[in-house]
Amino acid sequence: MPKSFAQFGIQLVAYAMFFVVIFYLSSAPAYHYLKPGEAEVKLAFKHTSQREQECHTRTQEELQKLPPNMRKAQDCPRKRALIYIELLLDDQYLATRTFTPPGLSQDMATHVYAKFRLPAGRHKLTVRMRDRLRADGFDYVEETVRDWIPGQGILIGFDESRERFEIN
Amino acid sequence: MDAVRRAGNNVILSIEQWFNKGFPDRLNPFYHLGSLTFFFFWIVLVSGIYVFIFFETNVAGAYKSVEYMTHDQWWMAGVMRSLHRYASDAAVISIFIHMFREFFRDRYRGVRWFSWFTGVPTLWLVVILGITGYWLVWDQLAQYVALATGELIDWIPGIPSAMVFNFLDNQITDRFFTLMAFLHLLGFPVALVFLLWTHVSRISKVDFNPPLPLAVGAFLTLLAVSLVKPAVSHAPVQAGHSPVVLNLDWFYLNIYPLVDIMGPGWAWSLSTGVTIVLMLLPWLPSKKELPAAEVNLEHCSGCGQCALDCPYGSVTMRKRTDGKKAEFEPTVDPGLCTACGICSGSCVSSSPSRMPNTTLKTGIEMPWFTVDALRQEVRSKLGALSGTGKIILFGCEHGVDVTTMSTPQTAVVNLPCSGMLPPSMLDYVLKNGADGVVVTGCREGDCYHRCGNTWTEQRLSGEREPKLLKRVDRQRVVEFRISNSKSERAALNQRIDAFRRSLQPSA
Repeated sequence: MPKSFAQFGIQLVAYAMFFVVIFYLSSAPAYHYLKPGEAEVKLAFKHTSQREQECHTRTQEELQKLPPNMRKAQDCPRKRALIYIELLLDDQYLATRTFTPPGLSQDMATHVYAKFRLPAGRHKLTVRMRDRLRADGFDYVEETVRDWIPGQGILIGFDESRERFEIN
Repeated sequence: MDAVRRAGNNVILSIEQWFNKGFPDRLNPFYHLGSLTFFFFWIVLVSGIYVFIFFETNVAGAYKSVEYMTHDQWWMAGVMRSLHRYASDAAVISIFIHMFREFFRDRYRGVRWFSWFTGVPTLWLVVILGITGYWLVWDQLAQYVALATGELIDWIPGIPSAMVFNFLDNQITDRFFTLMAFLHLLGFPVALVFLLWTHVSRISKVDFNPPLPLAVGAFLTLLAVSLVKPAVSHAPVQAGHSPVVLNLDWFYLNIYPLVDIMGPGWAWSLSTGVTIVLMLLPWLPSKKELPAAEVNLEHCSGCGQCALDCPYGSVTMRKRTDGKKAEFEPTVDPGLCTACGICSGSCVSSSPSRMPNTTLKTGIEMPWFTVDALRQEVRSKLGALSGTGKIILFGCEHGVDVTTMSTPQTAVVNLPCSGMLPPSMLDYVLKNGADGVVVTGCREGDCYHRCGNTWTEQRLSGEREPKLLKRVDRQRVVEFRISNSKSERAALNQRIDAFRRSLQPSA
C-alpha cells in the first residue's frame, strides 16, 4: 500500500499508463484494410497449365534405344507453361500476374492466388488467362458487368470441368 | 553498441527513479518484469480455461459461443474473455520492456547469452499463441488473420499446397478448426512452458511470482480495462464480403498490415531478420568474462554456503576428493560463472583476520581479485585516511558510481558486486581505524548479479551466513541500495555526510 500521498499519486499514474496503453493498443488505431468505396477481388483457384511442348510419339527406332521398362509410346516433356492472367476494369488494365508452376520440373498444378482492389459502382470486370506457351492471345476469358458495392469480396475461381472462370 | 546501451540505460534509469519514488520496498514493476510476465500467463491460463468451458470448437458454433459469453454472460465469461485478451497484451508489454532493459543493462552477453538466446524464440511463440487465439473467434478479423497467415505460409518455398485456400468463403472445415483449437489450447502452451523452462534453466533462484501488492495492482488494472472496454468480436464472417475497417490488437497482429503493404516476402524478411539480429546480439560484440571463481580445497570447510548463494548455479557441491572430514566440496562450472564474487563473500574463510602475516587464502575466490588483494587495498586506503569521521565506502560496479567519491575522510573500494564483501571485512576495517563503513549496492530487487544485494543485506542483519559479528557496532555500518540515476547519485553524497555526522570518533 502507498505510504504517502505522493506515492499514491505516482502509483496511480503508473497504473493509469498501463491501463491506457492496453486500452488503446488492444484495438486501435483502426486499420483500414479497404479504403471507403473500395471492393476487393480475389483470384483463387488451382489450375494445371498446358505443357510447354507437345507430346511426341516415339518411333520404333527410338523405342528400341530405351530400356524395356521405359518404352512408352509418348514422350511428354514435363515442364508446363507459365500462367498469365490479366484483370481489366471497364477495359482498362487493373492488374496482370504471372504464376510459375511449382515442382522441380515445374510440372505441378499451380495454386493461383492474388488480390486486388477496385472502386465500387457499376463496372465491367474482365478476367483472361493464357496457360500455354505463346506470346499473345488468351485461352480463357470471362467478363461481367455488375454493381460492385463497397466492401464486397469478389472471388474469381476457375471451374476445371467446364474450363471457364467463375466470378462470385 | 556501448553508446546505444549507455543511452538506453540512462533513459531507463531516469524512468525508474520516478517509479522508485512511487513503488518503495522492492515494488518497482521494472524490477519484476519476468515474474509479472509469468503472472500474466497465469491470468491467461485461468481465464482461458473458463472461456473454454463455453467455447464450441467448430466453425458454426465458435462465433455464436463467443457472442454468448460476451453479451449473455458478460458478467463472468465476458470478463474472463476480456481478461484473457488484456493479460495477453500485458505479457507482450512486460516481455518487451524486460528485453530492452536486459539489453541496456548489458545482462544478455557473456555467460548470460543463453537466457537471451532462448528468450527471443519465446517471443515468437507468445505471438503465435495470441494469433491463433484471435483465429478461434472466427469473425471477420479471424478470417483476415487466417488469410494473411495463409499468404505468409504459402510464400515459404517448398510448401506445395495453398493454405490460404482453406480460409476463403465457406472453405474452412471443422477438422481444420479443431486443429487450430488444439494448437491454441494445448500444443503451443505446452511448447511455451518448455521454452520458458529453457529460458530460465541456467539461472538459480528464479523469481516466478511478483510481490503481492504489484500482482494485485496489475490484476485490478486489467480488470478495470475489462469492465470499461469489454473485449468484443468483429462482425461474423460473411460470404462475399471483405473487411473494411479492422480493430487490430497491435500487440499481436502488427505483422498483418505489413503483409498487406510489403507482401509476405518482405514481411518474412523483416521479422526473421530482426529475430536473427536479436538472437545474435550477445556476440555483436561478445563479452569477455573475467576468470571464473577458483576453489582452494585446503581452506574449504565444505559448508556449501557458496553453492547456496551462487545466483547462476555455477557452484555446486560434490563428494569430497581430498580425503578431509567434510563430506562435500564445491566445484565451479566456468561456463556459468559471471565472476561476480558472491561466492567469495559467502565463504567463512574469507575473514581478513586470518593469516595476517601471509597471503590470505580462502575456500573459494576470484583469481583476479582475491580476498587477500581486497584486504591489501583496504589496508592501504585505511592508512591514507585522515581527519575525523573516517569512512570506508564499499561500492558496487553496477550500482551507484562511487569511484569519484574519494576524499581525505572517505576511501572508496569498488567491488564487482556488493555480495563479494565478506561481513568480517566490516569488523576488520572498524577495528583498524575506520569510524564507519558504507556499503552501496544495486537497487532492491534489481541486483545486476541477481542476489548480491539481498545476500549482503541478510548477512549484515544476521539472517544469512556468514553473519556480521554481534560485536560490530551497527551504528557505524550503513547500507545504501540505490541505482546509478542522476538524482540518487547526487543524494548519496548528502546521505554519506549525514552518516559521517552521526559517527562518534572511534576510541
